[in-house]
Amino acid sequence: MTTISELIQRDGLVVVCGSGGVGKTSVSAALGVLAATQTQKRVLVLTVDPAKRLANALGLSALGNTEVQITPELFKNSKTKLRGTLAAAMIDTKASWDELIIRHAPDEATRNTVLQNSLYKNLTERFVHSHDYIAVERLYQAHASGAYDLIIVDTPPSRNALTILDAPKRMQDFFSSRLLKLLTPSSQWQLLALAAKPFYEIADRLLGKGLLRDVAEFFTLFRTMETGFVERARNVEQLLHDSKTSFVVVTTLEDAPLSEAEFLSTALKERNFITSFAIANRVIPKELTSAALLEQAEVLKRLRNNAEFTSELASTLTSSEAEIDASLLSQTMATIANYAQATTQIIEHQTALTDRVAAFADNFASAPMLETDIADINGLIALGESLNIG
Amino acid sequence: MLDRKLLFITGKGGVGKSTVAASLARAAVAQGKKVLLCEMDAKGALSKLLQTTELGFVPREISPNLSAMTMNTQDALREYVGIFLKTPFIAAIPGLAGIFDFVADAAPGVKEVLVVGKLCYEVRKGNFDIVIVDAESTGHIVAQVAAPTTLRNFVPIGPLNEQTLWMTEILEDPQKTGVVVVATCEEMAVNEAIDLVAALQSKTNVDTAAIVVNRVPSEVFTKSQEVVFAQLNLAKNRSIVAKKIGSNIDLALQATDLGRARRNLATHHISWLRRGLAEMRPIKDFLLLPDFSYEASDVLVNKLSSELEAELS
Repeated sequence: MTTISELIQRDGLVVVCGSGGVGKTSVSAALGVLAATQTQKRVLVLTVDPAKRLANALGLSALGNTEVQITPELFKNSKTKLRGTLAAAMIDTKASWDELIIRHAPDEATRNTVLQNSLYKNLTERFVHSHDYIAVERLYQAHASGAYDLIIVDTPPSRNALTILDAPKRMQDFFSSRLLKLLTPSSQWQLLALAAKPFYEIADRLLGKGLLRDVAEFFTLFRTMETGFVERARNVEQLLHDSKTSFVVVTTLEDAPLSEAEFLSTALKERNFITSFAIANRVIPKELTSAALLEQAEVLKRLRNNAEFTSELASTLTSSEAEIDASLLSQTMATIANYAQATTQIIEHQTALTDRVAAFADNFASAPMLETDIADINGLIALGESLNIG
Repeated sequence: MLDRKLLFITGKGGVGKSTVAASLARAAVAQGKKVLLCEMDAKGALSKLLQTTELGFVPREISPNLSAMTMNTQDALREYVGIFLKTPFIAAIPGLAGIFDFVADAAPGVKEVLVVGKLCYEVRKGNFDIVIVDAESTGHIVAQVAAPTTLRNFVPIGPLNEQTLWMTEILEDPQKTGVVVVATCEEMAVNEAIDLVAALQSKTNVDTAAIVVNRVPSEVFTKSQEVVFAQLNLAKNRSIVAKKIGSNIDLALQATDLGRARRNLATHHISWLRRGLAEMRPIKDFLLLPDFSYEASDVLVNKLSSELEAELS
């Protein structure tokens, strides 16, 4: 059994996955803050969700594609201080793609033609799941720079977070596909070009004249960058499979996100990735037990009908600011009783689901349901600490 | 909104799009309509919610007047080729699937047109009173509903181009088509909803039929009860109250407070959403759905659909 503290003691990568809306981004940021305050590491949090409040919590007006260092000044009202360094960035797909093209283009002419191609923008948006590829590529770039000891990645909000892990492989497959070779014939492959002719004819009938040819032209240019892309994709894949890379699956204790988390964990296993941590977020605080709440609800229901009791308590509570009337007190007591009872239903439901969360990873941590959204660094510190304890 | 022919249900991942889509479908059935429910991402969430076996591309009636299907680009292509080009043999040519995937990845709007085309085709055929689409999350919907127009600009001639015209007529008619944007009372879901409505209004001519805020926690206290609760909760009163009612009263108050906090936060986010939408063209329906997230799937859909029925009647 490992603790969250041990997880962040290691150097390497932490990939945070989970269904949408479970608090993945906050958990990622909180892990980053915990690492940078408990250790002397150089920590980077890479996120895909542009939550403004989260950026604000990190003392930034917005997150951008380039990494920004969080200043120690941000911690001036906190008991916890930075011991290492903390940087954050948001993955901007378009900007990252442009950087990639600039890096891999063999010459300036190719670079400019690709960047100005009308197909390019559209392509980078959808082919080979480019958002996902870019996320891992960006991660690799940060890792390879050697500027960070620990990188925490909040994965893209795709419903199937696995596509990011398959992205490097898909990129390699894409370049080696027979179809790409057929469509982008080099001078040595005239025969194959001939073979592609029927394809063009069918495509023209199906799609409209010349469309496929335009596409092929674009890919001919794109292929000149093959070596760089394929090598890079291979490196990214290796990094994901490195023993220093940990996977964390976040879920809330609700049916749908949990089913998604279980699916995710199984699929990770199939790809030989190990889910090192399961994190249950927004758990009803432990001190609220069903037994205590039910007992209290019973007491409240009994006492609220006791006129002597309510009038006495009402007069005790009445102060210069608030005049409390016995019947209103009785109603309020009934509401509290109902609410305590309703909370026990949520607790039961959550308890029943907790075992399922614990089952899909060797290690388990949880964070309580918060009364407010995380709005400042203290919120992130508190979330990190509760993860560490829970 | 259920009087339209085609509804796209979208929103940020995790807000409950499938649940809302399934519940709207049930509500439409309850109004006496014949409904087709279509899942776009073949993830199987709908069949699970509706407690039925895996769905296919061919609509299947899963309960009286409710049919369901799952979208599949390959099948949509085959159908498109068969119906519109009247040359079904082409679809059987080996390698076509591969070539199609390749082009569709590159050319703007090809995949989307096939998918949206299939939905519009169901509307045109008129076998159903309404087609409800459990659409993809916010990132894709604008490209999807705008696809016929995008493609028309990109491929000036050819059969696909001609086919896009009648699709646009269905999609851009607010009597027929609408997008339903689902959000929850969370910062990111609300922001995505605002951004999405802005994008739909600026980049497409497709009408936004409704905003649905899902999982709104109910109000805990009335205003006058709030005053009493505040007094009970005061530090100086706590020990007195504990002595009179029992030491566990603290826990009951804490549980109640958690509920109050969730409700307050939700109210804050809902007003933020309303403010964001106020700057845009008005949207006809703004619905708040209660939080049933701790219910089992079947109960959840039943409760939400009765809620929607009441709201929409």
